[in-house]
Amino acid sequence: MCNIPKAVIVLILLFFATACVSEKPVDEVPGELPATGLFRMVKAEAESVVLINTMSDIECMDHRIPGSLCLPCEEVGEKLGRLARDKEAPVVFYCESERCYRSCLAAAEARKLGYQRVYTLKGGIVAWKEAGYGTESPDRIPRQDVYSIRPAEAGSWLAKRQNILILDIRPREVFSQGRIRGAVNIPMHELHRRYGDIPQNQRICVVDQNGSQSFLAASYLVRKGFGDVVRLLGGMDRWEQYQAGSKSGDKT
Amino acid sequence: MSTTAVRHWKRCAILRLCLLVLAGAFIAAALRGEAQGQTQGTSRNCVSCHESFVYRGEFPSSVHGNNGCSSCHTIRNIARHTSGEERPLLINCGSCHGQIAEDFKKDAHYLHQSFQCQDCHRNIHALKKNSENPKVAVARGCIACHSSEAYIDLGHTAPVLRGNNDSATCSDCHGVHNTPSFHIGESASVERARAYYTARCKTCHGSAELVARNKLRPNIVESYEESYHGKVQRVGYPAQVAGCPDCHGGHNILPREDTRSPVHPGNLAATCGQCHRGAHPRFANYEAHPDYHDFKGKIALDITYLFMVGLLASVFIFFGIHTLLWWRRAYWQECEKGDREEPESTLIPGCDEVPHVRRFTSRDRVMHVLLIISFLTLVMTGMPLKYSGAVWARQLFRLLGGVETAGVLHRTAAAILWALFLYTCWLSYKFLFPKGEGVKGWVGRLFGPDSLFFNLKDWEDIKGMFRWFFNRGPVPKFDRWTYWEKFDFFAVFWGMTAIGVSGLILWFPEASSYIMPGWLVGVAYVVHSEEALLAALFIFIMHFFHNHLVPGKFPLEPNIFTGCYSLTQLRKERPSEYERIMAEGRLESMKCEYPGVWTELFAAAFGLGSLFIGLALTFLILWAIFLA
Repeated sequence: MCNIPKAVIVLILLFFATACVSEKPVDEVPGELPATGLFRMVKAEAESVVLINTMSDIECMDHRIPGSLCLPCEEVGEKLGRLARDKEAPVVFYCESERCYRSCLAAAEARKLGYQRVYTLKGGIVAWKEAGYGTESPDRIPRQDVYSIRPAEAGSWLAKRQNILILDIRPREVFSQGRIRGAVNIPMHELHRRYGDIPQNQRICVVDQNGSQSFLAASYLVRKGFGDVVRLLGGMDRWEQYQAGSKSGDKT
Repeated sequence: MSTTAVRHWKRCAILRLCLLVLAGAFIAAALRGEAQGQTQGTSRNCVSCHESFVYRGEFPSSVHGNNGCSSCHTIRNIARHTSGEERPLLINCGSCHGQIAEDFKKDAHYLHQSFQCQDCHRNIHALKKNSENPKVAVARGCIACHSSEAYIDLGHTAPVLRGNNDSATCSDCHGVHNTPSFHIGESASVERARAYYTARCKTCHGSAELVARNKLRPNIVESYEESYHGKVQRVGYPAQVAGCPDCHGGHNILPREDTRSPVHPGNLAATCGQCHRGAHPRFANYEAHPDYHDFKGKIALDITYLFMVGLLASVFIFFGIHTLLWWRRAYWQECEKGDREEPESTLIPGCDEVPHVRRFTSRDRVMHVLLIISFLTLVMTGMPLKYSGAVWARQLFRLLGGVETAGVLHRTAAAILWALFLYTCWLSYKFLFPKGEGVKGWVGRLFGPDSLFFNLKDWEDIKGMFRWFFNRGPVPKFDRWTYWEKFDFFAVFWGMTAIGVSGLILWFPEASSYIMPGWLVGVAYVVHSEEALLAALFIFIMHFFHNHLVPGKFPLEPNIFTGCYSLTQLRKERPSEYERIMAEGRLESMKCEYPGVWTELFAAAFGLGSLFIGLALTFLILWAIFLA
């Protein structure tokens, strides 16, 4: 009968084991560096690491990881060779968005070009800041009182055909897939070259994908002398939700 | 030296000394003054070049006016700076405002828009102490970018603008330098947002003084925490249930009398419908903030609660006394008992071996094992929710794989228990109306010795037991089923009606509120919760004591698992049944084989394991009730 205590223990363990769930291992993406990893790498190989901000020049000059180069992901194929001559040296791309969409695009392009050690920063510059590391601002844009309008409000303005210019700053190919009627496209990475094309006598509503870029773009335009600039709250993501809602008759 | 000369020398010496002291004091004052006035001096130097009105006129009277320029603007080489070759180093507001700077590193404006201090605190050189109400000033600052309609005109900020500082301005919910963001990017989390904002609501609405001052409904936080939503949230799973903003709205929080409010009776069905598919107005009649003690609103809730508390109290008082007295008497008897037990061989004349007799069929044993598994699962997955504030509740849910898994386990176990209940109903029907005999003689069977239904003998047995407790008589001669076993059996029926039906209502609240008003879901909740507590404690204390922990059986009576026990035990525990068997000559048909080592091992392991889990759960429940 000396087996009984053991059996009891086994039974109790089994009883609980049915309910225990094993923790899923975290998927590690090859070539993805966490913020601390990047910090260590920069510290150890400061001379050779090429750190590239894949956002637009406006965003990159406004805030970037110290020592970064500005190269929008759209221009990586064309210009990377000039910025990083050594294909053996580590090249780290990062962007603003936590989804690191732009840095991933850039990294893929760099690998195609034959760079051996290509990395992206996991969580982008947000993760860098969250980890407590600082940034630098070579040409900072003072933030302005840029009013955020809700999709419903924008919709009613458009319906009334008010004198408003919808400025869509998303990449060209995304813009071509769907836009607000009458919107004009100047991608964010071209805005510093092309803002002169925008008429001055109109209210401008800046629209981006999810509301994360339009505030800075609008502040930039205000600095460039545009008087009446607003932004669309939540960008196209929220606009599409609104459109879907109004089609189904539910405007809540 | 003449006396005049001496007097003259003395006068000069005193004069010189005074002059020396004065000069010393002047030099010291000058040195100290230089140290103190260095910043002022630097400022004076700076404005000789930076001569605009802001620096010369406004800065000295600004909030930072007591600081010099160099407090913020560090220049390494003044010559290079004046020649235009060197710009001052970057300003670090955190060198004075350290905590704010630290908090701001987690602020959404910094993380996602790279805001710096001066983006909100503009015109820093002319910044004056604001005579405006700070709450109003905060709101004014925020609406410069964040559209104002929903934020200012409706909800909490409107009373702030009218001068009620008890109401919330933007920063009271969103923080001022530590504004979190839960909706941006990949790390956006409804779960964290719900937990965070619900906690923010609770800080003000949980304050008794604030609530009384503003004539708000008292106990609104406590009553939410009494509800299913509140308990799941409290135990650490906010993603699964509604927090405050889900029903009351994020910014346009309005009283329920306002037709624009999401909790206005006309809008409730749509509000509940955000989570509850198929929500309808009758369902929305559910009381989301049940208060069982105020005797206002739905009085049925208060009455149900009182009834359940009364039921629990009466059962536990009766059986508590019964168990204590039994325990005292049994141990008394243990001490008195010598070797007066009769030798077993005298049981059956001419037979050396004591036979085993069957008490439970294989069907009964399987049913009891299933009952134990389902019951323990139900208690284990339900009690952490009932006592969601207890320290162990969170750990137990984590061990069970989270509240969702616990919910699935709870419902699965409930389905098993329902199946057992329905099968028992069928067996009872077959017992009363057996094939061949039909309705004939059913009353006799119902009150007969093999029935689990109460009869007059039970009343006599209860009296007999109490006499025995006080040493005034022998143990009653029990038949097949004792009165406490019948109570155990009936507890299942009575418990199943209460827990089972209320459980089904809670399982399908949207559907069940088609047949009954939605507020009855709240009543079902009270019944389910309190009856479950009654069932759990009754089983884990009384049933365990009556059947397993009583002296002579301690620590386990295995016959419910093995199915058999010895004839000695039968004669000792159930003398009336023994006499009936012997008189009817049924002993041969009741004999059974020794159950075998493996069966005994299983009985010991499963039985003791269940006892252990049950007692551990009792400990946790009592801990939550009495020590929390």
